[in-house]
Amino acid sequence: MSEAAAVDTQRNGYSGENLLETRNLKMHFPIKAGVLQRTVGHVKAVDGVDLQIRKGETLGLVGESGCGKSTLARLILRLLEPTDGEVLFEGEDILRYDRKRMLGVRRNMQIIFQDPYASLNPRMSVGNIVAEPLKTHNVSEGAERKKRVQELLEVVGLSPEHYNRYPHEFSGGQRQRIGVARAIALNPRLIICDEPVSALDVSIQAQVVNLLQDLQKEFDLTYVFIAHDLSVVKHISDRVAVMYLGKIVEVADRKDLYGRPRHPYTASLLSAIPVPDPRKERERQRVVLTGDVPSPANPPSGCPFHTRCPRAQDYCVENVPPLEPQETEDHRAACFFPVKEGQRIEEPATSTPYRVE
Amino acid sequence: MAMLEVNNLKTHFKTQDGVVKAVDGVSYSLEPGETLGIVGESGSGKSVTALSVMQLNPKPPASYPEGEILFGGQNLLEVPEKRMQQIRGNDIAMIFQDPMTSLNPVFTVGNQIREAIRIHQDLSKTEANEKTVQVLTDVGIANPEQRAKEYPHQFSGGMRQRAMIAMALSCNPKVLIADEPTTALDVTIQAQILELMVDLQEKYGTAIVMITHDLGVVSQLADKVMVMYAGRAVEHATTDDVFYDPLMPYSWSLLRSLPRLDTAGEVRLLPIRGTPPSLIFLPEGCNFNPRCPFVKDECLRIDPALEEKKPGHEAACILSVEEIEQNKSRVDQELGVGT
Repeated sequence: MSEAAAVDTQRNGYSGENLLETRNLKMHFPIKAGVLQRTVGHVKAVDGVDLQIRKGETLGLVGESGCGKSTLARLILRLLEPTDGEVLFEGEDILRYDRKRMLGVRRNMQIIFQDPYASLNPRMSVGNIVAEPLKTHNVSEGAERKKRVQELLEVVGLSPEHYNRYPHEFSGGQRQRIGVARAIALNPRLIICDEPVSALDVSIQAQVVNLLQDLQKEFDLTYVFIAHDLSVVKHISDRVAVMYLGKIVEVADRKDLYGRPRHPYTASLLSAIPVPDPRKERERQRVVLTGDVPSPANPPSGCPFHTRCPRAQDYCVENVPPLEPQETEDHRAACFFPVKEGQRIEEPATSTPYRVE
Repeated sequence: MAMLEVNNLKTHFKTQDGVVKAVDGVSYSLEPGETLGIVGESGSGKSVTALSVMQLNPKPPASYPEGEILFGGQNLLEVPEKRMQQIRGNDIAMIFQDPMTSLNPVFTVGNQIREAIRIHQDLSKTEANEKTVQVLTDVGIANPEQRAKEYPHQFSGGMRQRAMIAMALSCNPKVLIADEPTTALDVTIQAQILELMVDLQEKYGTAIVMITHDLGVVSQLADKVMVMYAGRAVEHATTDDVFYDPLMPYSWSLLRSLPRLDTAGEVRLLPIRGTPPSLIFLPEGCNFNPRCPFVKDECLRIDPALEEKKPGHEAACILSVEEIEQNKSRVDQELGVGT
């Protein structure tokens, strides 16, 4: 690392533990209307996200549709220019990078998309699809490149003979493998998996999940795993962050988040998932949230969850809860009245607001 | 007497490449107030089974070479279309997966529900209006008078599905077929819809056929489960039997391939190898043999029929119960699954 870069990282308070960090990241999409296309409002898709992604971990990112998960993923990769905030990759703010330096960073950050049908160009052969990142970054050439692509195909469980075939000849699960091969082609450090198994049949999901886990071990990858299926996220993640209306409402170690959720939203999400265990299902007490997710164009005042929260007080309507540590530094939740151990979510909170005098 | 009885139903589609046996000999019966879960991957014939009961498969290409669907003493495969129109929506109603495409965007929601009511019941316009508002209230839509005048695009996904349920239940059907009713919805909304369906079932005693690929939803709602693979029922038993003691390797593999909230992260998933077979070129012998973890030589030759392996527990596998149990515990030990 050059001296200038070292000074730069120091300035950002970079500890070396986090591969990627976002600070107060915001993405407000303008809503345009009328003949003059004037901006009449903003969709606050991502609204102030502070997130740390540690080296070698899998960070799960969950939330309902429209909560900003995918937008956050695109901001991290700088596929979208954020309205405000910083994205630090190894301590350096990549939002200040020019095109050329950005290209260098992109080598280390890749993405796997949700829809294996839409994310592969139907006119390109599988070989060309997987070779494209190598071509963009001028890695290897000719026969050597072809050999590398065939290697990659083997790594993800396809056959090297598939090189000259086209995407339509493959099933959904196989296509997702092609997407994975493309993502790992440049030996990246970070892969963002944006709902990689949601479009797949249940029997195929496990194949892709196991493949991702094997690759992580083999190539020392860091994953951000976005999904709305909380069981899959629990299976693959080390830490999990829960998003609601463009904000992180809770982030914790996997065991803590699933075992001792503090935020009422996390707790009710967990109670809403049906488990494939009929006896447990019969005994379960479910907290059914009322209403829908509010529109991010017109989010509620105060805590974004107060409109659906069974514990909400007047205080929550007026004040925005910060994402604060709970029992441990690693378990953070943005709630004034967090759910305590053994407490039912519907029990109205009687205590004074958390950490507020 | 069973409310709905399907016997050896076969639904075949003629295509340029050959005959697709989308449903190939499926039987089940449904009692009043009971819920049957039909589970399977896409292309396993779940939806075609449902559409056959509703007689909604276009003929041609669909044909029903064999079987019968008995409802109220009549075989629905033989009743004239006029009579079928009286049954459809009135006695047997259906909820589809995607509420956006199953509602007409150019009519108000109230208008569409009223249409269903007026076709089947002899009510005046004002009476039908009142009934519309009442069913919308039943499914928990706030401000129903106003909402009835709105168009589907003004409804959120969960509310559209509520409106679909309101429409389906407006004529108090005896049988409700729900084809992946919550697949397009978020979990918190899914929980709302499933709770609503259970409440309405208790209130009206409706029999429900719940089609889904989500084993969690099935274990929450179903009394009995039928697992389908490549157009056939491969296991059919009570929900507890299928989940705790599956006797068909496919059902068992499905359960082992799913991450579960209680064991997730500690147990490695057991994927099912390969992909579902093409319905035109089915494998020799058992349909599942190329993907089966317990496959034997005989499986490549013998095509097993659905037979009773334990009392009330049917499965289609040539392996004996003991062989299946041994195989299951062997693989479970390798995976580290505690029983």
